Amino acid sequence: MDKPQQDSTDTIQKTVQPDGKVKNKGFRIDLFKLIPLTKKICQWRSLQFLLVFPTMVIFLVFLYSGLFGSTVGNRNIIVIFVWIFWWFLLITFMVPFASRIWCLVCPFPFFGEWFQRLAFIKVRVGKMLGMRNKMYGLNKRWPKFLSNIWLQNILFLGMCTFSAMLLTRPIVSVIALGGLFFIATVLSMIYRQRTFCMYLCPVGGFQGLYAMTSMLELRATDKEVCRKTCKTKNCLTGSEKGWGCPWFQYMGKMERNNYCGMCMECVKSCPNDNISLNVRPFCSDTLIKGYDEAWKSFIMLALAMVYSVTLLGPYGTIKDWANVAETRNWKGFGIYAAIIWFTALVAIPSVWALGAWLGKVLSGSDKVSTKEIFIRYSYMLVPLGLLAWIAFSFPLIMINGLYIVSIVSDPLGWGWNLVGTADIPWAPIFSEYTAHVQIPLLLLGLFYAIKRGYDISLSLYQDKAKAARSLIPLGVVCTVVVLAFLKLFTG
Amino acid sequence: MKLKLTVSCILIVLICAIIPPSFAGLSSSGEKKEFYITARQYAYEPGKISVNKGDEVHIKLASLDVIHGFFLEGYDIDAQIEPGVQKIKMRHPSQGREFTEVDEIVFTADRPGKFRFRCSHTCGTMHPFMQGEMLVNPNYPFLAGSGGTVGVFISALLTMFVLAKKDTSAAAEKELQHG
Amino acid sequence: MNFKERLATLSVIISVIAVPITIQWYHGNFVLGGFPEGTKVITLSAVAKGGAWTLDSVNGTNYWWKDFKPATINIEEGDKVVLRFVSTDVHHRFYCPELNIGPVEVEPGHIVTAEFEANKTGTYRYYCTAMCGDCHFYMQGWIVVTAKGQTPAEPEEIAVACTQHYEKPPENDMVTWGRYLYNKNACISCHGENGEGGVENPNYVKDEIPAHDTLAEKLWLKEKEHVDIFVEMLKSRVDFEDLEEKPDIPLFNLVTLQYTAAKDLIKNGKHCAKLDATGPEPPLQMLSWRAVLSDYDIDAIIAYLLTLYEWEDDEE
Repeated sequence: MDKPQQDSTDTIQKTVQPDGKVKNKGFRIDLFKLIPLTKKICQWRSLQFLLVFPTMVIFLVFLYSGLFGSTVGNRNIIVIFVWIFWWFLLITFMVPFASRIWCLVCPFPFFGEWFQRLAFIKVRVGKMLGMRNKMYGLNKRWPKFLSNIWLQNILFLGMCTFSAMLLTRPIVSVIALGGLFFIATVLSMIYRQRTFCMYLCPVGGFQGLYAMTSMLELRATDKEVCRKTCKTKNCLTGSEKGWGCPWFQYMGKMERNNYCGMCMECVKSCPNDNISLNVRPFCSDTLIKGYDEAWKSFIMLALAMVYSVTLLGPYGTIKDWANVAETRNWKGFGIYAAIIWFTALVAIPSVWALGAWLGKVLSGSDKVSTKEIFIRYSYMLVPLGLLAWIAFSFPLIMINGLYIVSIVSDPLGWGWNLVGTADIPWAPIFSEYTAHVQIPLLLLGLFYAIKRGYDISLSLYQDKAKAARSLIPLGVVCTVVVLAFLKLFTG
Repeated sequence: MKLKLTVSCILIVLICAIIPPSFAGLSSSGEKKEFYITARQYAYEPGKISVNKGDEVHIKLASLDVIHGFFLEGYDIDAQIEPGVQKIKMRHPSQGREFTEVDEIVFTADRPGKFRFRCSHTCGTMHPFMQGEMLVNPNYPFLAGSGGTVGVFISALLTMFVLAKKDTSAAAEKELQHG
Repeated sequence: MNFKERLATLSVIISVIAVPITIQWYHGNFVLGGFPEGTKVITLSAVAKGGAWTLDSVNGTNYWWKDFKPATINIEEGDKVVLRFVSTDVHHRFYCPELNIGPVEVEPGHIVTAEFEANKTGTYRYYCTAMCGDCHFYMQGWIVVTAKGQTPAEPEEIAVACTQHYEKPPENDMVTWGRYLYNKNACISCHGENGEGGVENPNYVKDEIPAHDTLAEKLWLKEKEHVDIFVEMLKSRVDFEDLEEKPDIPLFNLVTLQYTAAKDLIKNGKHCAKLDATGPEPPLQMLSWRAVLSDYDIDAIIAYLLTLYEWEDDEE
């Protein structure tokens, strides 16, 4: 159940800095210290290759299957393994428990990164662009005005508009995934490092946002060491032991999980042995920076709602709208797309803005602007959105779980029977208990939303009463959102 | 103080979760409810049916385009509907894979809550998302969940204002001592 | 270090090439090659769009644009044949009554096989007997068994092909609406474009599907005016059981009786009786249309069929 765990003060140092940033709160357990072997593994140069290489091969099988395998979506490995199995693992386990660990094993930049490094395992030493590594390709800088996640937001929303096709037709999955793979490779030749992953990859966008909740983080063990002792900044610039951070992160300043791809290069390159792999409480990063990230949280929430209606709902007309490739009902699809884009980009943000403004009025203080409340409190939608997504994904796996089992035996739908499970009859797995799983998840989401919202409000206001009052309107919004999800899922 | 607050918060959530279900009475029970549901590529019509706990439910099925299935979760019912054929093939999945031919599906709605019936027979692209809903009232999980949600909000309010009050009284005391 | 790097590069290159090769090799050797020596393995893919059992490999690269044509399967006499049935979309049912193949349930995701030995020459029609969409009734083709060393005979063309697009007329224009429904629901595939029937139905008592352009006669409407009056009655949606005054049609009781029977037949379908009781089930069956067609729709079709009757010229 959702026990409101009160922080016990002795284990938690809550540092509220003058500029309102909440830093390092809650306990941290350094896995590198706890189990020294983990550090050995992370420092092992072959680690990433040995993890990405199998995913790469599997990805090639997926693409081949999408092109030449069965046209029946639920009998083709690319559809079931990507959109059901991988998605479920990603949103339910990888992101909340291991941050952007997927970026470590993601096959998309496999060849792109190779073109930049001309190496799968070894490090090249050299001098260029202020780095201590030698890199190939054009190494251009990404334009400044695009150095945010707006493009990612728009691309993601665009891709999600076609989700009904993406989730059901192998060939559309091939086009989307193969396209992303291709774009990642080409962009890596033109732009520096993991530009694609940071600013374009649709998966990276929401992973970054929801990784803020993650119970795992890579951080500098002691930031003072970075600032005072370290002159070389090898985590950013690289060394003969490791590549400079492909994500342009400097460990002395990195405080959030958003743009850390967990590639472990800094563990290898840090000369001061100053990197920790920490286990930490759920929802430890609470700082949303800027409108782009705030909108990402709105978009994710809107999509969770729209998908709950379209994919898990009983409404045939909406399914027909979304499934335009078959129905050819472009007018209906237009309405559907308009609803998605309007909800994500206008409706939810407007409600949020209204709530932020009301919060400012209620707080009775002019110290904090509506804009700041709007952006900072949008973090509340991060735990809420993540848990709503998990609640949404559970039925997917309950319904389609046995397809996964049968596809293991017949990945392409060609009549194979590799391990003898190809012909087991389909049945949902305990799907009658969906509600019993979803309700606690949603309540937990609301609990964390309000709890972290309160933490944020305390960092903005000195006065606890003002802080509480400023939170009420957006707290109500979150409660209504959870009620809406409850109605959709169980009512 | 902290412990007291935590315990009272949990109590509030629990009480809020218990209240709505315990007030939900049965409007009727043991009635015979008849439904005629047609299946087409990727939806059922009507997509939502609602009965009361204890009702005897009769469902007639027909397909309008291709062969569809009708798997009612929680009630161990799976059917296959062929267009142009008036008999339904039905089975209880827990009792084996063999189908028997019936005119309609009959069962007693003895489990409250929301149960989905979904296509169990691959019927095209959107097949995995073809589903409808059967609501067996009173919907205890939903009522408890909504109550709990409101409970979380109320206990959050309570915590915040108790903490704020404690703060102001501490500040006032401080002022008194200084004064 | 360099050794590791080379090993990594090599394994990447090998695996990129090996993935498709391994898949094809496994499929060829263990799946297609898993049948006894000397059998001829034929894979038939069922496509609902357009209605075809095709010999083409149907996959992501062609499914969305290609028009698949029903296959003519050529076999030499004495061949041992394994048919592998693949569904590319919905549930189909393969049936070739004269060769005793099937009915085989072909579900998406489950490839099923049927074995047979072609020991008599001739052309045999095969069907899909599970309703699989708008083009279901056109999903037919031929299996041609030829004596060794001879060129296979060209089977007769299956007259109508599935054209899915019919202009939708206004619903209140009853006869045109009936004609539209009759075409769109593929009644024409068996009953003929002008209700002439005559399509062969193996092992059916009547051999052929009966004609319906003489429906007026069967309904005891012996004059053109009577048909006109009756169609008008259908149009005005009168309740035949509760008529205030009988129309000017002789033997009107018989007319209503026959009309109700015809309507019930469309609503409930009809099982086609076997000619030889021990023989196979006739492949073409009258389905029940009550879920798809409303009362009005059925009346419209009856009205349309009534107008098909060719009246002898009175003036002669």
